Amino acid sequence: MNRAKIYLLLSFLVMALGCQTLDESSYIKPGDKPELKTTEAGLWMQMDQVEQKVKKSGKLVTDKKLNSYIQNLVCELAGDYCSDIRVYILNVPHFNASMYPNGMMQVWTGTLLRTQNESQLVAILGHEITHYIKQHSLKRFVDVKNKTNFLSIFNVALAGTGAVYGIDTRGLSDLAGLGVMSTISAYSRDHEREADAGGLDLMMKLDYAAEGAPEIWERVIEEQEASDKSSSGLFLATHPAPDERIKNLRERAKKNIASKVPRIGEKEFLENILPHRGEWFLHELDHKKFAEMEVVLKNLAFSNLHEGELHFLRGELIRKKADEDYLPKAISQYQKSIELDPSDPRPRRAIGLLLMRTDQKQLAAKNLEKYLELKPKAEDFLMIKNYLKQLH
Amino acid sequence: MRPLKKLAITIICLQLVGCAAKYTYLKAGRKNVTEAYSVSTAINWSQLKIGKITLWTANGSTLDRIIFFNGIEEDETIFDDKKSLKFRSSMNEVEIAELFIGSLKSSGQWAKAKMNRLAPKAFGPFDGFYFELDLTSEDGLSYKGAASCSIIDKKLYSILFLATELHYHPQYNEEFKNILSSIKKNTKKKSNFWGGL
Repeated sequence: MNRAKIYLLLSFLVMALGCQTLDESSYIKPGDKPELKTTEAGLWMQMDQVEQKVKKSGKLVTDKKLNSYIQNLVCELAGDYCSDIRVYILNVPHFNASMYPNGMMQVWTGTLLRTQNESQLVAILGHEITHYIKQHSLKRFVDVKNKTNFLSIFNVALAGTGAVYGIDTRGLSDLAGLGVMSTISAYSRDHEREADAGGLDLMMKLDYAAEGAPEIWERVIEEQEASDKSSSGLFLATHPAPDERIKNLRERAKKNIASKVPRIGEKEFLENILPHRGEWFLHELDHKKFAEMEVVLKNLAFSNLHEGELHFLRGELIRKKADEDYLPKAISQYQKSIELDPSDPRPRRAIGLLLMRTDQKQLAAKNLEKYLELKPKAEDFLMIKNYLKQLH
Repeated sequence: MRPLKKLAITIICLQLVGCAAKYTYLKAGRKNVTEAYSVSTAINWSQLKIGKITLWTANGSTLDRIIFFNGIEEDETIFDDKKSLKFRSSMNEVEIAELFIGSLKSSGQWAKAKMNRLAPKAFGPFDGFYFELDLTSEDGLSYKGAASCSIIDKKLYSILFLATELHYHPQYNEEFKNILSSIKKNTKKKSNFWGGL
């Protein structure tokens, strides 16, 4: 046997010995914690350290009512696993939620902004809970570890073979790397499909409308299509394509016919989300994602609880985008907002500041005065007072 | 020493120099910040210049920093980044303060940023405005600060002070105020910025 063959044989032998396998059908039992000396225990320990940082993070949303609302939904869905899962809402302006093997669940405010009701939200939460129960993080960790171990050994063997025969093996090495990465991504996509199905089952047990699950993915597709830049990147590499998810979810939903009137949960959802929705939207607007925010705004649910807000947010989108002739368009939106909700100080200030640039100085002053009346402790009180002095 | 060893040491030294930000030592005294104005400082600083931004720090920029924004022009972003909204010379004071807050948030360094007490206040001999800031870093540390701004010849000039709420803000806040009160208009255009360094 020549030296190259010995290298290859040895490397595959080492790889086979070093591989840890995990049964794909395995799942965690309620209250279970991994035994020390296991791969999972090491992973949990690292995730516990991450969780400590998350608890102190500046991005953590600390609003008690909102946290309690989301945690209760998770508990309802998770059943016996309720006490194993801890929810952290993070103020991050993107669509995402994630589940960690130690029971830490992160929900980003960008996700809450993009959901319209409880049935859509529980589809996401149920998906994440399924990741936890089916131990997808651990399975993926073991898979990545095995495949990257293989890749390292393969590359050493390949370099050895190249050295013996005087061949440049870099191209083959890159090809092997690509192959391994694609199998890792495919493995991850299988878990996502399983989590979609599991999440749908959990929400349907609670009589939620199954439509919620495909609907949220329709929002994601619409936003991606509106975006002028590709923001899918890694997300789509490790997740099934959204249109495939929609098709699968719709087919699965058809098989599960609800026994009662399906729960949508719009009222409860809006009661908890509305106090924060405007702030989250404006935060995302600062990131200049105008095309995406048009879609997000179009899909924000109307609520009698805060009638004028959607017009105010549209006015802000128009003003910050500042296209040609934005001024009358933004003013018109603020005006509609005031008509629907005269108690909101935000459109009063916005319209007053824009009218200052026109010859409608009196109307500008009237709105700025009303703004200070509605918000006497405004952070810009002295500046607005100064504008009023100039306007009179 | 063998030539190969010399070469290796030289390369390592060059890499180390290249990795570090290029801070320079700045002695106390009057300093020309831009063509537009000068300020006086009573303490020594470490200084970093990047494009239209000049940063002074006494203990490291994560603890305390005074940032000079030197003439941000129409359609430029405050931090010279691609993520945040652009400055327009038609903006009013409220919009500029909002632009600062939005740019700080989208810079990715700050989890929370809030503006307080926005008010008209002279920027040395120039018309200007002033506002205070409450910030929380990504890892949850509280910072306080303030910014003084002015539009001069359609360009935005600003001096921003940020420091950790505990210890460093109280320690340097008085010096920041002294710097603001020392702003003097430059009568002639000077080419030797930061003279005497």
